[in-house]
Amino acid sequence: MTELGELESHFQEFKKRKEPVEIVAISTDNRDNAQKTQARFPNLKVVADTDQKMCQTLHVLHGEDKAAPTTILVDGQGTVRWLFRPDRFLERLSPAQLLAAIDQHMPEPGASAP
Amino acid sequence: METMQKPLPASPPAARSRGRSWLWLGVGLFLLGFALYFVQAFQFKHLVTPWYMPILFTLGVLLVVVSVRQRPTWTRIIALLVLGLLCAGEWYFILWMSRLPEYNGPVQVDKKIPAFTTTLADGSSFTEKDLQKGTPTALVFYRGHW
Repeated sequence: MTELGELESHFQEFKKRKEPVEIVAISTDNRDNAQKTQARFPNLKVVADTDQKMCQTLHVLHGEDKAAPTTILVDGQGTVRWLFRPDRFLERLSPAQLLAAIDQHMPEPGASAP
Repeated sequence: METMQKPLPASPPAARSRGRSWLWLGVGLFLLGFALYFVQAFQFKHLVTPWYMPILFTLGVLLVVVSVRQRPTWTRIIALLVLGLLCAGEWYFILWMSRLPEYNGPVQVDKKIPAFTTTLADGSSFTEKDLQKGTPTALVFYRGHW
């Protein structure tokens, strides 16, 4: 949850881009827990993948019923631009690292490629 | 790090405490490891693998070994066993248990995200079509409640 808290507290940096980036947080939590998470982090869009359909389809399950920490950048047309999975589940992208990846893999119109 | 005090001259009470400071210093390194992780993760919210923990734990075990060699009491031997197990467990956790497999699923860069269906926290549906409406998105999968 630390990761989501960090993304929530930096959400303005994702929104202020010319093409604002929406952050969708997905876990296999039940609806009740997902609603609590949504209330805690109102600027993220929280998915309750309780029946694990999305996690199974995209192969992000780790163990029986948990999502492996994974970040996927998708552009506005639904095309995947970047996928990141840390080596260890103790590691997460910081908001600054995620913003840097967005700049690199989904440059804004008119921005020069880094 | 502070230097150790010189051992007291040999006398019965001093003999009992011989090497005790190594024991406490060793225990202190374990506590330091936990404290540093707490500060790293919860104060600085810096989520990286805390390699310093098993390293500090190993140094702590070595100091307790020194303490046991100086005066092998049962208390110290038990402390060594407990801390040794904790240290081994930490290495196992960091090196093996926390490893994530490389991603080998159907999501591919420069390809459309595969079709999926799921549910938002508010109960409405969420599918790959919601990712084709012009808004770039970061999908962040997290472990959720333990």
